[in-house]
Amino acid sequence: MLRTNNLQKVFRTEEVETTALNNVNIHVQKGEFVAIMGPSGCGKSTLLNIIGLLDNPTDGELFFDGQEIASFKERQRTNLRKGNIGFVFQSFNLIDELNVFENIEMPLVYLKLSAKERRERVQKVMERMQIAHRAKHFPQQLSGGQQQRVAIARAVVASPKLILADEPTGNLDSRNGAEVMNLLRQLNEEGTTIVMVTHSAEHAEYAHRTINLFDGHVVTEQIHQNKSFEAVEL
Amino acid sequence: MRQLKQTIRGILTNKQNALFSLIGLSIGLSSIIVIIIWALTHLTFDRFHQDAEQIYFIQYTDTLYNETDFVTPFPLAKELRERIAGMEQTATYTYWTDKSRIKADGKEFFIDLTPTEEQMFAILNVDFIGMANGHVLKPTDIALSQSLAQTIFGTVDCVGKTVVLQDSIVSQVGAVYADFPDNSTFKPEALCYYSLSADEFVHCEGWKNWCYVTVAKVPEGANVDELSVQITRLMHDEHEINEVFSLFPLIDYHLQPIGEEAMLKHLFMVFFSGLLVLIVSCVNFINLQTAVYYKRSRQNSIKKMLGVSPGQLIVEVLYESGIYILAALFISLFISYSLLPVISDGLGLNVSEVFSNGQLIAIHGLVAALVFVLVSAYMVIVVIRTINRTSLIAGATEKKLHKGGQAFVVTQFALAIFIGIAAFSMQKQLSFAIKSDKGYKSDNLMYVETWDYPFDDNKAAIEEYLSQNSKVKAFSVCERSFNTLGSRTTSFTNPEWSEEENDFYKVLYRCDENLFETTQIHLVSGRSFNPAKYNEADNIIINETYAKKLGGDVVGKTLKAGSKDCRIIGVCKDFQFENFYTTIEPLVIQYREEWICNLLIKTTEGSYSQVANGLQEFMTSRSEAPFTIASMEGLLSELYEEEETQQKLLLLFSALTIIISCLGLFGLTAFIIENKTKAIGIRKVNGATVSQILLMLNRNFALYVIAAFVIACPIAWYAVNKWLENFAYKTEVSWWVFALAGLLALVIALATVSVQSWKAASHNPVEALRYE
Ligand SMILES: Nc1ncnc2c1ncn2[C@@H]1O[C@H](COP(=O)(O)OP(=O)(O)OP(=O)(O)O)[C@@H](O)[C@H]1O
Ligand SMILES: [Mg+2]
Repeated sequence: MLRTNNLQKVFRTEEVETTALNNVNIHVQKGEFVAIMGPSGCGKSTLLNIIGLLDNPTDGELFFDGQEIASFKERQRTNLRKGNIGFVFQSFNLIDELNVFENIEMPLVYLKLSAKERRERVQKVMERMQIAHRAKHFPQQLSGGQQQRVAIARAVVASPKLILADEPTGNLDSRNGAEVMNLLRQLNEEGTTIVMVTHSAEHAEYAHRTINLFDGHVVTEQIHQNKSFEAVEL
Repeated sequence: MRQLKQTIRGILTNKQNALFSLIGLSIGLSSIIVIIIWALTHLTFDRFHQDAEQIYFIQYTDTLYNETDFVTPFPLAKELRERIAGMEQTATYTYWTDKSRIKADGKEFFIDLTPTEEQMFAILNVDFIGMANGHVLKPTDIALSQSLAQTIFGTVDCVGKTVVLQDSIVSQVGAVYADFPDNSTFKPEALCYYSLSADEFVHCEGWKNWCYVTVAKVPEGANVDELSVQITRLMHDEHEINEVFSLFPLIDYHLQPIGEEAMLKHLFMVFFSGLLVLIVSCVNFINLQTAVYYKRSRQNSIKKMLGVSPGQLIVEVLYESGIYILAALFISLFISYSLLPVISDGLGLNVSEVFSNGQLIAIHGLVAALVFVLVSAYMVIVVIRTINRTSLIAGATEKKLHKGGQAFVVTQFALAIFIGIAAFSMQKQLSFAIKSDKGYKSDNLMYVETWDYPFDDNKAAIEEYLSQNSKVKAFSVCERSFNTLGSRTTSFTNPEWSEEENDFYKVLYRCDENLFETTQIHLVSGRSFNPAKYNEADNIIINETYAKKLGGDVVGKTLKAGSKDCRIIGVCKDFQFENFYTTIEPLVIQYREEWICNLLIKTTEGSYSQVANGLQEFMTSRSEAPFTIASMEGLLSELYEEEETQQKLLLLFSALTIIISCLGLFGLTAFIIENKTKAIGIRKVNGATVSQILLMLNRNFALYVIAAFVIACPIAWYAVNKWLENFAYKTEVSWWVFALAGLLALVIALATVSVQSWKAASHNPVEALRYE
């Protein structure tokens, strides 16, 4: 479902030029759960942002569902992203002024769904994430684990094909971390493709496959023996 | 010192905000200060005389029409001196002087010579700088003002020189006095006593002729009302004068000259608008500073954890406001000093002559101090109210535009919209007053006022000159121009009516047969004057208003003027001969060839200045005596000069309030958007488009302006209607003026906000979410 070809990203500021990604070729299949690992600053987040259509690559090609999208304009990227890709961040990125319900509801608003449909879908996903009883609470009133579950709920509420998670367990203790990983695994088992950046080898074990990045390159790819993933489509 | 440094560093961390706060504050300070200077100049008029509040004009009110005037009979001053014990001093002087011809050093000049009595010098301050023979001006001397002495003799050192007045009166310069300050009502160019030549200076003697002004000085603490009663009784008992006399304070004369629009109203209105600008700028300052304060709340809570006392926080805030206001004070000093020539121009007097530097700086300091007290009081309240809330967590969440801020933005825009509507409406009424149909055509119309020009001697020559000028369409020898038609009479009565029914004023105007052609006033019925064919001596033309009053079909009817019977030969369309405050009055136009000496001239299109220059040259070549040529439209717009200044000032104030409000809005948006950067990023990640973000950010501001509009409209509606009530002929209050003001405010506000919200909305969300 996702393929990159010689992807390159260069950041230019006044003084320095940083090559964050250099000739990255990866391939994620539909229904796969892929972990990305690597030392800090090696370009993991940059790669995720490009795959997630938040940012444009400097050079190279990006295929999403077979469509070349590296040169898409902002508006096109936004439209493709809506309802297709969900994001989970290390720092949760919830909006402080909105309560749990409203935070989760947001992607549906931009999809222009009716209020009734929005309510039903948010309700369902909140129950699933076990945060329904917190619907009227504001983010600051929740624990880190709860906040991340809200963030995941928001990522999945529009039933996207692809979930991108950037160190989703980075700010959580091990118990909450494990809980989040279980949620992600469940979602994957239900058919959602997941690409997750993590620093934890233990959490990478949840994935079918780990891609190791170093200094903007893919260095190794490792298939987890205990997982079996049959490619449905190439 | 350390505190000062830290405060300045703190201010500079928010450079844009600091700049906007300062600009807003400086605009507010300087506009109110300029207005205060302007108002004080008016209010201090005539106060430089010693015991100024004990000096009065004698005025009378006639018992029949309740009209008040300052003219008095010549012997009044002497009579009051001798007969009323409670009067300290009185003097007569000629207020409306004729131009006198003076010959000195072989040159000839026309000067305004003011004849008076010697008692005058005991009442008003005349500052003699050169005086012969001790300290008395001899009965046959004249005194010159410093500048006139310079003009005539090229030196102030001219005491003892001989001058000849009106070719026959020989006099000597007895004294030179310092020019009167600009804020003086009494400003004679030259002074003499009536005794110099009673023939020349006392035209109308006795108790029956009223054409002089009487000034009086009363003892300190005198009962002025009691004095008025005494004068009235004396006049009634001994001189058969039944008018009611009273004393009018000299120091009020400038503000409420009789017969002119109340100056105070004007003063108040301008002052009030200036005050609004100041309020808006203070609000703006407070608003921006509060935003900065909230932004710093995190920093302040860290300070608190380190043991800073609340008092210390308050001192910091006071320091900060103090620095701003000091800076604004310097800027406004600079602004006012650069504006002084402009103000002086507008006032027609030299402001720096009225106020010393020390006084000017004191005014600035006082206003700045007042603003400091107001502004810092509010800031201290903000500090105290938030002091217990400044925990680390609360500090991080204080993100929305505080409630006060919303109210402030709405208030600012409401004021701006209000002033804007007022200015537009005024503009509309004024252009209506000047441009609308006055019943005659004022374009290419010229008015020549001949003052002391020997018109009768040159009449034939001038008429011939004008008739031969192909650029002159028509001209008429007439009494006055149409901006102030002048004299009123109760004469020209309907013989069929009772005395009471006839008891109202008619305006009387005298002219030759060409008036109607020159001014394009249409005759409704009857005919115009035609002296070639008829004897017009006792014929009159009246206007429609009077005709209607007389019952419509009046041509051929006769009216009584004294013992004379005057026949109405025509009725002319109503035309405007006063300003638009008054309705058109009944008018009688009389045919006259003698004793009228002014001209109305209609030129062909585009040749106005050519004709004016030619005539100027021609008339000057025949006599050097003064006369003036003015365009009718110029004279008309002079009628509304005060309103025009008001309107221009309002427009300026409206622009200033808008500018200040926008500065505030710009500053606030910066804070709001800074706080919202992350939220914007999150929303974009979750599928929001740029336009959706823009809408979200701008919607609130649009709502503020709409709220401001809703508040401003009814107030403006009321105020404008109230103002228009003053006019007899007025435009409608139109909705589009309101819509225009509101729309302008909305567009300007949204443009201000959008500059930043566009930047924020089109920002790459990755950037916004990167640092956490
Ligand atoms: N907007 C930017 N401007 C300039 N340089 C950037 C920008 N974003 C990323 N970089 C640089 O690109 C490189 C890769 O950054 P990236 O955030 O992808 O690293 P990472 O692998 O996610 O690190 P971490 O594990 O610490 O999150 C870094 O050297 C970083 O400094
Ligand atoms: Mg990263």
